[in-house]
Amino acid sequence: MHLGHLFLFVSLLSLGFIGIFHKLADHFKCRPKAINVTVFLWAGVLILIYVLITGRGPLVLQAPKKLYLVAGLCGFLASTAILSFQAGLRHGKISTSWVVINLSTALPTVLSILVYKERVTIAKGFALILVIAAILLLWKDKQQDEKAGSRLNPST
Amino acid sequence: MWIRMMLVCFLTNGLGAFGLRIMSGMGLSEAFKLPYLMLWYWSGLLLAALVFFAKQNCPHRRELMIGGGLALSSVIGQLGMAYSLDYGIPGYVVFQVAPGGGLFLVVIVGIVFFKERISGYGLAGIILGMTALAVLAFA
Repeated sequence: MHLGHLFLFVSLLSLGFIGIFHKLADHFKCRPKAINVTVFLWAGVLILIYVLITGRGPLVLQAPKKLYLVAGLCGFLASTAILSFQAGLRHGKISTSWVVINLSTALPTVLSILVYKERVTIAKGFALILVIAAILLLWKDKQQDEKAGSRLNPST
Repeated sequence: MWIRMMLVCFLTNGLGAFGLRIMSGMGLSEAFKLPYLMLWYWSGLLLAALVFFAKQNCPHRRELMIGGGLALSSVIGQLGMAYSLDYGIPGYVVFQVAPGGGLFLVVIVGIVFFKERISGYGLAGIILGMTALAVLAFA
């Protein structure tokens, strides 16, 4: 195993821990808006420290204006995504919710096909159909939960 | 409520990730990866702060700690993927193994430690979802 594999393993664990921390936040009744602000605050500080340590500060100032625009807009979207995810977790399970947020990686694929005219291969088309099917099945799972919940507690 | 929130999350997270493809299309992704990430986090903070401080005053200690854990995981996850690419691991392996393995870990933790009950539909959805992500990564 070389260093690249080690970085990959650390990355795998870290990405998994994001989901676990979201669940912990819900478990300890943290407010979604507070979690959203603290995530971006700490991450902003950490990345700033990393940029300064690696001496890449000037690169930020040299970045073209369109980079600011794209990063700004995408940061806004990501902030909305984290807030809605944390709020949605109050009504659902981490095991299914985390699949939904991961499936959103299909959207850039669709947009790349539409905007950049990337070729639609059979595999890509098949995967996109699977994404839709997976979301529908997870929705059905949620409906089953709600049915079971109302059977246990008919007053709700 | 869950499906509504998850749809918003699905759309905004997916659109947010498209920024990297736009950067790549402009030929900026290699040189300005780190500035992009920094600006991305800071603009996210701007919106999050506007939403939070409009009605609330200060995060609680547990929120600061869990938010810190989330942030650390997010930054290490992103940098870990970038470094593994730099050390010669192919992109199709990195983008498949890191998020896919992370997803598997979360599902296992949810079921085993938090005792979440998954119906047959849910289980099929998880398996189909993982398959879809694997196919997308290799396609």
